[in-house]
Amino acid sequence: MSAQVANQNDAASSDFELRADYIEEAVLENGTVTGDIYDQVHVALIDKTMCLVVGPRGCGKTHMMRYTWLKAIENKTLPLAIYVSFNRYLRLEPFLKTKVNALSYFQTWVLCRILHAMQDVAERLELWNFNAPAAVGLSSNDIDALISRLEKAATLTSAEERNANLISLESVGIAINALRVAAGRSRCVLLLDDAALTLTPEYLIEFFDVIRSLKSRTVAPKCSVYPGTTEYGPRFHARQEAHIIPVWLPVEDSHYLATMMAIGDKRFGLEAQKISEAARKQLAYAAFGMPRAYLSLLRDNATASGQQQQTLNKSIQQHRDGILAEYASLATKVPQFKTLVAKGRELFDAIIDVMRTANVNLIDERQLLIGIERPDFTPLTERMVKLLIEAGLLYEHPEVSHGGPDRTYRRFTPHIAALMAVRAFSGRSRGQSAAAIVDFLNSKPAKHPIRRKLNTLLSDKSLAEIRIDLPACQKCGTRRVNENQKFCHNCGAQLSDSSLFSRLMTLTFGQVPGLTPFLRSSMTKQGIKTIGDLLALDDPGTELRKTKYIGVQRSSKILVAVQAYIDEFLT
Amino acid sequence: MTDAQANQEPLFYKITSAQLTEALNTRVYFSRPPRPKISAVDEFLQNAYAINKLFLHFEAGPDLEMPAELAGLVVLGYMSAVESYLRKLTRHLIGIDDLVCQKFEQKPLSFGAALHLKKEMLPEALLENISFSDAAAVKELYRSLCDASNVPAELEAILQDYNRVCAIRHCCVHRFGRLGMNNAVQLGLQSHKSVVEHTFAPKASDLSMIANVMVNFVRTFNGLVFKAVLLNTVKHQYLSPKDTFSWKWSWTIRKDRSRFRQYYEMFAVQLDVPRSSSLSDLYFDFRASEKKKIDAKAAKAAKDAAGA
Repeated sequence: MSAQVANQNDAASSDFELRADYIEEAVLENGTVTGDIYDQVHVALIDKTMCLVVGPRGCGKTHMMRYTWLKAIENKTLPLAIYVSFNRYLRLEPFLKTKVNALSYFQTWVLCRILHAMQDVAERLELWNFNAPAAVGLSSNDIDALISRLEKAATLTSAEERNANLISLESVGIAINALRVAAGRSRCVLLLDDAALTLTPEYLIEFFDVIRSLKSRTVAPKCSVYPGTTEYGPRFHARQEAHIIPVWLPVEDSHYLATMMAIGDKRFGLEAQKISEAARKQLAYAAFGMPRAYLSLLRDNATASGQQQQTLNKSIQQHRDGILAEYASLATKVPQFKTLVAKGRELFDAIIDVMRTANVNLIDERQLLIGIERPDFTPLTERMVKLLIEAGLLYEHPEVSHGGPDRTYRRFTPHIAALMAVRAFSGRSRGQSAAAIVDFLNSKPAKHPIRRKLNTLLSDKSLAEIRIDLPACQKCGTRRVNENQKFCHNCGAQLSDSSLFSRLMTLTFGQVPGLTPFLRSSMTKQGIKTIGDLLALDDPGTELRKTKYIGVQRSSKILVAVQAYIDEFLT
Repeated sequence: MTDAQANQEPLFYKITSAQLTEALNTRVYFSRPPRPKISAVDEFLQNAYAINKLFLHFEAGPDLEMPAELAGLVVLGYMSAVESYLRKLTRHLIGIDDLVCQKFEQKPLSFGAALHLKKEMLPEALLENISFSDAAAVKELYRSLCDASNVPAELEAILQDYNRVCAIRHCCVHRFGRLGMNNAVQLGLQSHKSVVEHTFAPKASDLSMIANVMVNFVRTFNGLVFKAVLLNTVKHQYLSPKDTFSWKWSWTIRKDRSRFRQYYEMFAVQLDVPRSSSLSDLYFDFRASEKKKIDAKAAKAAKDAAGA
């Protein structure tokens, strides 16, 4: 092994970056797997149409967008690409509860973020004569001030208000085209990342209105969203107006293993060879189409000492626990979904149970599909399933019909790690080894999916209990009758919900899934107990460095990790 | 033809007939005495919620259909509640704030009012001829109360909806809910052309959206005026001093409390949830933010003086 490779591998094990937001550009460029689904995504990201890139967290949406952006910067024959992330949208959520013009503040923020990203592109392309903020009559400082003010959910001053008025859909549209001409490109693509805005449906509708207006002959917006969301507001019809591109690689795909393994090899190189091929394949299946999960599993196994099989099983179980905890945290974030999340978990467990039994009894074929009759779904159960899909726990396949509209099934594959964790693939005479599990998973699929009715998976009692947990009237305590109610029908008082963001700020790190005990204790030692404490610090690094043995390196490492989790938690 | 028949009025004189009416003893109709001291916004909310109780049960019960006539009355009730709020707020502000008082000093007052009303009721008479049935009148009032040339974007935003409610109100007052051409133009002719002459008959949930606009309008207006009026006191007393005010903030709560309370009690929400922050919390916050500006100004003046 050459010294250079050894160094790279060393770096891989200690500081390996899983989140595409923070990956260095060289890694992004050389560590991206092309082929099949990812090629299709790349092509869709540079074509002329508006498209929605759909996939759960960690499936590679950000990676592909940043990769495409980088390629487009370098290659003059590609369209001009502007990459913008909207992952801080929740910081503007308090406006929805306090300001009647919340949507116009949100629009200003979206456009400011685009202008900010345009300036970045102009600098990369060394277009020194082009200034994106100046194109709408402002300076970079004005734009930054607006962004910073709005992300603090603070009211704009009258001067800022005047600046905000200059930033309109028209002025930004003109600026985008001016940048495109300056860069000598014939077209432009807007890569709009983290556009799912799941926790603020009001903003989602406004966002798609903005995006529709920015779309033109020369400007094609591309938005990354989560699966499960099908409603983008009354004026945007996803299926008619946009091209839908799935990024989530299904485990049934014939190139599934090859693609995932290639990602591991590209990013981990020789380091991954420490793990046996069978184990790597098992991990690839356990990642359920999520490259980020696969890389994280590989890292855990490559750095662990002890018996390989045990480590493997443990890491898969932990992975399953992690995603289930992430899913459960939705109930903390949105209390209205408490029952939906709990019942969704019951459904998921029931599916895992049914599928385990089916696979244990199969001999030379595997069963990864469950079909649930479509007419069984009510708006509430539909919403429950959507939450499972959004969390990446269920993969939904395109619909098939078996004789007439009454026999339409929705087909799902549950998360493979959850199946592995209950030994669904290693039952009876089959061994527990990775090789045996992978062999089984590689066997031909069963001819028909397991078919179930919703009420055989969930008891009638459970189904009857599914509801949205609406908060009671704060004045008289009467339960609300529907979600859209503005006033209490008993006492007439205006119903007000507390801000979701403000509530999340009071959560302690103990309630944030995924943080290691070390990270938690490092923060609490400094009196940084809640998420709000962390975000309020001007210079959190300095605070952290007051602890013994924590210097510049460690403090920044802790903060990057915590910040990443918090950002993810808040989207 | 008999004589009796000949003396009778022609039939066409009597196409409709009416009964004897008794003299109205209007004085006894106003049987509810003024409420004890409550803020303008609290009074508005109480009025609004009382109106809500008249129609919200139609929203709660899926089988009940709300009478269209009730919808019109609800809109009128809301307009009346809003106007009453604006008048009460203005009257009190003229009474306690020197700058607002100065702004209204030029306005004409009827001789009868001047002759018969108590001094504190005179401002109410001042507004009697003004109607707040469109956004322009509200903006004018905002500019007078806040000594501002522009209206904040937040208020502009809600006033667009307020204006729509005003158009509906016009239909309800003058045409028993039927949409007239002028109002259709106001609401957007393109989308309303097909419903001209149709009667206002919303669902209960739609009506509660209208109620929501009105409540949010008052909450927004209340917050913005409170902020602007307080900032104006500091501006006129410290930042660009003029002799508008006969008093000055001392920045010690002991001395400022009673003055601050006069403002606080007029604007604070005490009877609804969530309640406004406490008087002392708001005072300390006001003092902290304004003292910063005053200190910065003093520091700049000192620096300029040193430079000169």
